Amino acid sequence: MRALAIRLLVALAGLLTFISMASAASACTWLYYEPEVPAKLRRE
Amino acid sequence: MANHFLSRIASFMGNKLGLSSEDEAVLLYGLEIVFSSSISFLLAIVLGIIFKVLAEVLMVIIAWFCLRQFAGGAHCSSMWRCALTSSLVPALLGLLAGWLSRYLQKNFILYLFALIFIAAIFITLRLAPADNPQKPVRSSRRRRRFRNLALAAELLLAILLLGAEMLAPGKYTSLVLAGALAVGVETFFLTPAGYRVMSRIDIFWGTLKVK
Repeated sequence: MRALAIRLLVALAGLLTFISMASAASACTWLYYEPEVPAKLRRE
Repeated sequence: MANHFLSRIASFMGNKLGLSSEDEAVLLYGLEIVFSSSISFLLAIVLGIIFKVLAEVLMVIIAWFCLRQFAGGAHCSSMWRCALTSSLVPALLGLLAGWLSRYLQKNFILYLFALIFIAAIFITLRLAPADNPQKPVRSSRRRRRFRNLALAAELLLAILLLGAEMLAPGKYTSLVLAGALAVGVETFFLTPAGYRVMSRIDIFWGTLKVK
């Protein structure tokens, strides 16, 4: 059960990382809100 | 409050998976995007159902999604102010599109459509990608790429919407107008006047104690 929970957390973390990277690579989200981009994903 | 809750989720995931604080910040950013998008999308859908303009609201969101990623634009200062604005604007545009499609003549609709897209292309050429302090695009190569993609998105939307109107005249007029109005409003929010309007909207939500 615990192993399954960890796997789910890993999958969720992977999905969130993908969303973060995709959003950081765009000029803007579709919304009128833009959270601060984390330093790790910031590009010049 | 929502931000605090999301921080706790990111922190919990980081602890369980042994992530660094930098990786936790990436998860938190993803959570904020997913949460704010879901809230705004659901509110917009609810308003679309209430005002009976669901298809038009979805059309506005699709047009925004295609264009805003490349063109950027003005922002609200907090998640809830954004959620309210991002759901009210599509509902208002949907209502306006429905109303205009009923009362305007076909020729006038086509002129309006052409006017909006010509203005949008002109503004995009001059101002896209719009400055965003949270995500500045400084490299001229990236700026050029975003501008070209925004122009491509506008042209694609114009062709698809016009094609729909030509293939089935009168059947999708409100959707065509919703798409065109969405492009018009999105490009307006690239301009200094658009930034001023968004700032006023933000202040207005502040007076209503929306955090």
